[in-house]
Amino acid sequence: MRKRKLTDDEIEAEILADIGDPSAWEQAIYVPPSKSPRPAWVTLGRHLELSARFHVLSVLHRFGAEATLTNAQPGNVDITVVQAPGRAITIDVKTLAGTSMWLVQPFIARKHHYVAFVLYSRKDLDNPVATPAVAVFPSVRLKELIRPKMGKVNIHAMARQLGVDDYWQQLVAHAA
Amino acid sequence: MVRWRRYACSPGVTLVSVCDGFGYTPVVVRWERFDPDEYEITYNDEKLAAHAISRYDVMEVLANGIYVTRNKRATDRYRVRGRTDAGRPLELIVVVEGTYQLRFITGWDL
Repeated sequence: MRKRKLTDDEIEAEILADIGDPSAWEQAIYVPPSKSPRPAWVTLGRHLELSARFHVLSVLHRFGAEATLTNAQPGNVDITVVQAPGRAITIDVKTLAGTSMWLVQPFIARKHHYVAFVLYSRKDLDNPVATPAVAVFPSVRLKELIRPKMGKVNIHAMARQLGVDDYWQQLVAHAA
Repeated sequence: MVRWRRYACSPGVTLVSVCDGFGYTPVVVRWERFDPDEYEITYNDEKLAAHAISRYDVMEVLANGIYVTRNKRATDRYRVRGRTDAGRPLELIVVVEGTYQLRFITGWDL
């Protein structure tokens, strides 16, 4: 009789049961770095992520906000906007390419912290001068809508639910 | 009925014996010659996303040099440890689904 194929959840549960048991695992082997170039979709994705951060930063500066990109900042903070000494709002920038569905990832929800979604349409992926759509939500309000194991959420539907109309004004008003 | 047969060897994959009667096909990856470019890789995006791991992160880890540990009970399952380009240390769980087919089912920060 052919054995039933296990689901990813079942495999994960078995792996987690073994993870603390060194006798359940063979000796580690080292695999050197790959000599092949990375697939185009990987490099494009990373460039889009950085481009999205700079886009949000650029618009904030157009509004006169003291915004700074925070590379390698822990805690889902990509941009900080300084309001006054000791006071700043922080922004986590998420990039969506060719879709408005966000695969929910853990994110920090706290006062003065926002999540900005930068949406590149599929037809504009190869057009560097096309402006992406942006949706910005207060992290605390977004967290209230996100349920565990929600999978994907539609950003436009989320905006309607949160009743956020002018994404930039709420940020700039808060930053002022 | 239990019947044994030999799989033809192809580059990067060891010759294995397969027992049809049990329906278990332990295709073994030759990790020492591993090149992600040669594999069809699938992802459980939801499980990876739950740990804030993207497909990009997985591909960066694979490209940057990895430590691979095989499970003794289920020899098609591996723990893969490595770092993203940004230096984020990750452990990924991968299942060999067939010849040149890998599936990353989950992962976490180390």
